Amino acid sequence: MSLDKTFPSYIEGYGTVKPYAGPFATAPSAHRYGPKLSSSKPGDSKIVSNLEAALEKSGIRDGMTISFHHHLRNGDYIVNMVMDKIAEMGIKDITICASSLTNAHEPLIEHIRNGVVTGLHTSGLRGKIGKAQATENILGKPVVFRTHGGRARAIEAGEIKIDIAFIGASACDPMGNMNGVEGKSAFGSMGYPMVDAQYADKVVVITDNICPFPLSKIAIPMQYVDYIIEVESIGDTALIATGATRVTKNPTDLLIAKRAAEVLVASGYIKEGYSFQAGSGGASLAVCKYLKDYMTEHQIVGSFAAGGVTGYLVELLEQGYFKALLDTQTFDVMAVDSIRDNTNHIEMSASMYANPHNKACSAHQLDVMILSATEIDTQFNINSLTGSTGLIMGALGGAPDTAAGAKLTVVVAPTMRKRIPIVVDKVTNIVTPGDTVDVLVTERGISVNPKRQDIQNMLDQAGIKTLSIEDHLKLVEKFTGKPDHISYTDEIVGVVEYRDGTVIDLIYKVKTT
Amino acid sequence: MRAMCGTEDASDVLVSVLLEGRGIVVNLKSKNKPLFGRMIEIAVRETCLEMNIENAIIEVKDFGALDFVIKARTKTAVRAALKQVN
Repeated sequence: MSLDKTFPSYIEGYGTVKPYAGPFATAPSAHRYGPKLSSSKPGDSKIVSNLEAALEKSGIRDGMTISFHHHLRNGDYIVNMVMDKIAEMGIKDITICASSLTNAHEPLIEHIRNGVVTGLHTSGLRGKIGKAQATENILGKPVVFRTHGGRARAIEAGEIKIDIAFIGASACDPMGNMNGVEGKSAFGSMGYPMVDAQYADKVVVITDNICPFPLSKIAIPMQYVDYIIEVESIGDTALIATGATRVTKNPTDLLIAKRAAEVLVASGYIKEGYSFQAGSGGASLAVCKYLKDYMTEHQIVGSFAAGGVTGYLVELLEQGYFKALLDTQTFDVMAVDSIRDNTNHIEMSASMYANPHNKACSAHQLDVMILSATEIDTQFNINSLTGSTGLIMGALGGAPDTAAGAKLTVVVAPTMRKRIPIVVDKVTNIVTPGDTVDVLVTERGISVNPKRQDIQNMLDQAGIKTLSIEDHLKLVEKFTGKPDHISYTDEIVGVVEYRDGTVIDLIYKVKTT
Repeated sequence: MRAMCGTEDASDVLVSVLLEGRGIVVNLKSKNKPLFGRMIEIAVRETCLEMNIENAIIEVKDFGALDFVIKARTKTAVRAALKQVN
């Protein structure tokens, strides 16, 4: 299904627009991109004395595209370390292709204002950078937002060509075999840079832990690595991986989770060998808590759980509720220990996770996906990127990928947050199309996408009460009132790509008075 | 002296009332202003009208309160202000 939106056919600073045509409507026809060939000789050394030398050897110059990964989350030192050095060297006009950006990356604002950074490709943008782009267009052109699967696809397709990839590793040997599970800065899976390493012309590893050759656990092997530099620390360990993620105690979230679990059971998907993924926040993770009880009672063992992996999923693996975990991004210390020590906790690349244009991905093997949302509208479209006031404050993540892949996609969300309604007439921006979203569960009710009459029938049979999404909206607006419309200029500050590389929405600059 | 009611907690509102000046002056601070500023001001003014208050300077620090909360906080703050005057 196409959207009732019209986009310009060409956007300055982005290129030709291919509009979204449906979750699986756009197929690729080109060949996979290939980076330049390299060669090595016996006796070569890859360890370079400092970052500046590594940048020079990699041929850094104006106009290049460089890539980063966000596994070090809010503790990341890599992006700022590299960008500060690039700025100091007088290099300009750099495009950053990051798997995502966090609050740790706010110093980028200065590099953007000074013309060091002139292009940004990411899954998410928050805090001051998100606000500055939405209200001032500091970049002077749109940020390109891609899903985790869409980023892997765009790199493999050569739609974005990485000149130099910077990879933070918590353990690396002198030839560049590396992992993220050993060492003081361990962060877990290296799912995102696994793709970058294979397609970038030059690969620079930044590590705070050089180990003897050969490293025994290898996430990314040496054949992709050009240079290695050793630094004191790649990140703030307290912010890289927090203590075990606990299930929420918020009563509203727990109520939503309990109802969502009832919906899953009634839908018939919770059976022997089923597969499951949930976001790590709020009500999403709490759904597992209630499913666990049902699985115990009916002696059900699932095949795999996936995604951003938390300690709670690790507990389910260790207690035998699931046979395996598939992990692109590890969220807490307990999960880092697990991916290092448990062979059933499997590290996977972003391409294996969610790329729609390869030969199989884990997102397409999912039975059940639980998503959260910033907004959901009467067409079941989900927004998780922009706030209702038009500011950029979130991310695409793997939501569009998993929603398209899963047999059943359930959105769990409260009906309002600080008066701002979550259920709306039209979402501020479409991130995950309603074509791929099946059920909404809030603390006030359950709505089934009319496309899924089969699910509606199952819920009716189980005696679960539902209401139309339109009635859900009315119920919410009775409390919140109908919000006033935000005014936008016609300046495009963000392009939201669907996972297949089509454009699903555009973000316009907010009019400030 | 100002009379206050409410808190700075999420989903609450802090209303302070000074029974002075000419007419009702509402000074609103809220992250939700572009979305709900108009409605918040209406809720405050309606409450004043109900209570026959014609002159007041009302500071509203909103943290995402619903209308009934805004009305209740305003009402209590106005009552407290009236007590001080009497």
